[in-house]
Amino acid sequence: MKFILLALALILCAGAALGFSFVLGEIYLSLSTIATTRGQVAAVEQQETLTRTAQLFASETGELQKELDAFIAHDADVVKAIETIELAAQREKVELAIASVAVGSVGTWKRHEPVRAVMSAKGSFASLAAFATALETLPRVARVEKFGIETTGTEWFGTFEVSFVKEKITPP
Amino acid sequence: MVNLLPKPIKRKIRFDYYLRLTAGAFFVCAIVILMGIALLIPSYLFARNEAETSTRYVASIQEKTELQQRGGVQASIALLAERLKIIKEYNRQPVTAHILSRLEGRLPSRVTLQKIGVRFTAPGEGDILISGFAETRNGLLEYAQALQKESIFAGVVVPVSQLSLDRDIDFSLSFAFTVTP
Repeated sequence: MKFILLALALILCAGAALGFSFVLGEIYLSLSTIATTRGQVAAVEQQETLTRTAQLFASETGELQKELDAFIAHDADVVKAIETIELAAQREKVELAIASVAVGSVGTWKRHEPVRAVMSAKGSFASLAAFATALETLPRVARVEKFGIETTGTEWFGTFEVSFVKEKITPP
Repeated sequence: MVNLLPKPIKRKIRFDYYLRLTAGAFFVCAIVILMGIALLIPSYLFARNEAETSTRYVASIQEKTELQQRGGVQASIALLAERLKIIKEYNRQPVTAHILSRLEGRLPSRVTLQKIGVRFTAPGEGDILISGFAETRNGLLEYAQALQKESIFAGVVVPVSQLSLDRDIDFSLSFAFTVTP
């Protein structure tokens, strides 16, 4: 009987100690969760602020972006871009033949790709020079990569390589 | 006062006394701990509730932000950033007319150009390869000197091999150009 009382007291004390450590542990866990989520909240709120700023920027510059978009070719515009080159040739009185049009790739570009057009032209020295200048000032994001002109006596022949920028159909 | 009880009984009584004292101490200890638990319960409930609330809040704002991002804002900003980078890369002043006029304008009467090749390496920079026909060696040297005087051309040198003939020289020159806007 005497020992039973002691055993009961011991069990009760041990149970109480276990319960106490459980409650303390739970409080510690909850506090850790709160601390972690506070950090997450700060990060997500910052992200949200940035997203909102970006949204605002996108909406405020919408018109300008549309204007900029006109300088970039799209899949449907490639023909139009080539027609612009042909029109420039007509204007400068140059006989033009487009040899190839090929889509390339640039490692650092994710949403755009260069379209390289190689063409040959025939005309006077002055008209080929004017045509080269016209290629340099196309109403597109474009540039002349290289060109060569040569003469056989009366007429000049030229080969031009132009690259312009096209938006990818399937961006990443 | 003298304890007259025999020694074994005295020992038994002492043992019982310490046993009860220990049991009592354990009971008191258990009661104190239980009181501590009771006092911690509100803190425990509050902390648990707070943790659940903040977890739910994080989940909801994360979802909202992801939805906004999926809405294409990020994509359109990335597209714009890439376009601006490309435009900067492609931004070149028209220099062809300038180069060709310099090449042709400096031609002496006894030299004719037959071929001009221009390759752009950077905005306003690149390499030129020209070839043609010079009636005399002096005419070719005169043309090379005239090109050397042009600030946009660099490295205009007539190869020695092309100076072996005195007349009717098929020449070829290669040099660099830099046109600053």
